[in-house]
Amino acid sequence: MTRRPTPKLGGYAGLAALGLLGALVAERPELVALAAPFAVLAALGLVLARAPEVDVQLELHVERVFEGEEVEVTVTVESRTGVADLELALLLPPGLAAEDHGNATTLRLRPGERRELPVRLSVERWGGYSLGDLVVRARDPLGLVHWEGRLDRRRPLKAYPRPARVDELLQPSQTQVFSGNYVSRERGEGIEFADLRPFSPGDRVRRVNWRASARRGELWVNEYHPERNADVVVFLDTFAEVAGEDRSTLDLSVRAASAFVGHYLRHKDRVGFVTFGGRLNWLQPRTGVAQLYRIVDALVDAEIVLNYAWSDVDVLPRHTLPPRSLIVALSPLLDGRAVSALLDLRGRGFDLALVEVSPVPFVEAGSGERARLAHRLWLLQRDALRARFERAGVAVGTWDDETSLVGALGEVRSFRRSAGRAHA
Amino acid sequence: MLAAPVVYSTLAADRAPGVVAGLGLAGVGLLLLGTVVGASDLAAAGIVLGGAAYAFVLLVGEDGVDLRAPLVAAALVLAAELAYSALEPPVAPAPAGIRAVRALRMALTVTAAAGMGVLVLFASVAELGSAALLQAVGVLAAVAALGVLALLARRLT
Repeated sequence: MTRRPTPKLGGYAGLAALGLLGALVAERPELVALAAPFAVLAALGLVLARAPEVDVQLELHVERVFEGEEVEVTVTVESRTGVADLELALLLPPGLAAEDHGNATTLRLRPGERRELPVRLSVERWGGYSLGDLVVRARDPLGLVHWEGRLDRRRPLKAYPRPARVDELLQPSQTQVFSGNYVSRERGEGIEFADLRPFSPGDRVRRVNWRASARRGELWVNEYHPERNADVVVFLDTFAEVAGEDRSTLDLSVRAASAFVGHYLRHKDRVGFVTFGGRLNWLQPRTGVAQLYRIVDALVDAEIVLNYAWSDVDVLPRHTLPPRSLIVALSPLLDGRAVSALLDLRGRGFDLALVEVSPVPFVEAGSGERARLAHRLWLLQRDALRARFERAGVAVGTWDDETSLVGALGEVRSFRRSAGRAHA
Repeated sequence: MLAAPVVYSTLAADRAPGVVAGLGLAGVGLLLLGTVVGASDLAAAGIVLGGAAYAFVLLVGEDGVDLRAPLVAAALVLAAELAYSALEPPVAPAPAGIRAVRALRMALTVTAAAGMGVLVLFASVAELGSAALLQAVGVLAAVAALGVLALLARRLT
């Protein structure tokens, strides 16, 4: 900790000096009576000032938490010498908050005393945090000298996004070879009846349809649609965002992505992840709980990084976007590079569904006729962009914080149904 | 708090009360301004002017020791303590217990200031030796006090 005299010390010394000087010049003992307390206090403060020995440690009770939950931190303060006045503040990054300034306190420590200070923080936003930047200030009893320091006791804290509510998923148009929850177009072992065909050597007896066989006078067997899984890639546009007071289009996108990833993995699908923006990140499709944690950790690191370089989907490794996979894209459609990349994916034959995370609620029209006209033009441009995607065969659902994601997915589903993409 | 010794000085002034009041009001104004804008030098200048108002009363007034000087000293110390505590914004809010301890410490400091003033006045009125000797001792003591302060402050930096 750095020791420094306070302005009070200089002020008292100056007042004492002026008072004593005045007493000598005016030959009045009353002025000595005025100056003496300042001189004695300054001298006493300097004599009594001893550097305190303070040790501060921080313990974070959990390393992973969900958005909206609370996390408890314990700050342990110990002093071998004792401190008359110790101020302690835990600096909080944006996204974490403490109730009633609970992250800062003043205390007095006796020599050898150890105190544990619990601090409850609420996690207001998902993200990766480094918590443990502490500011410490100790004073001497007379307030003439301070010792200040900044301590680094940082611990990582990951706050996962609260998944948006999703009732029903988008069905992929094509499935893969592994078993899953989707009724495939192919014929094979399954539950859902597909068709009848004549018996051929090797068919199992239990598959014989006795009624049809009796009618036709020869053996006929049932065919079924097998349940298959699918490859799904969640594609997050991180080129640009629009933010309001306490949320942004990126927040909504991450929450929706979190919901999709959890749902598809529970349905035994292979799920991959791409953040396409100023910083590129990808995870190849896999199944299982480990993949869920990998993707959610990648989601927590998602951020808008300003970048003017042109990017297209060729930069992604081949196995990141498997053929016949369903690509669910989340984008505010603000940056031409993301729009171009998505249309390129559609042009390459990928099954693409787009959830437009609308920036419109975050943008006010502005006052004045020109501002309102500009706003209307912007809205019309966005409508034209949506129409361009629909002409390319991409289902677009618009979602903002005031409508539900379920409704947006419903729009996508109804477009895909009418475009004949409902079943594999 | 500086207003109390300023008012006392103005009322006790036999001559030129306007000058005393002007000095005092300037002192109060500078102290308030310094506290509001966070300038400790202005606050110190305000206290100096408040003390100067009292010093002017002593200079132009009658001979004889003013026995209320310890109270004026206590008031100036209290004004200084309050001003400097306002000028140093806290890193963290203080709980009620700590605030009570600080208030008690301030009260003891002010009381001790008054006590020191009484001792000084007692030393001045008691016949402890010849006037010239006492004057010499006083000058030496003043120089020594300032020298000690300077040495101690140098140790800090």
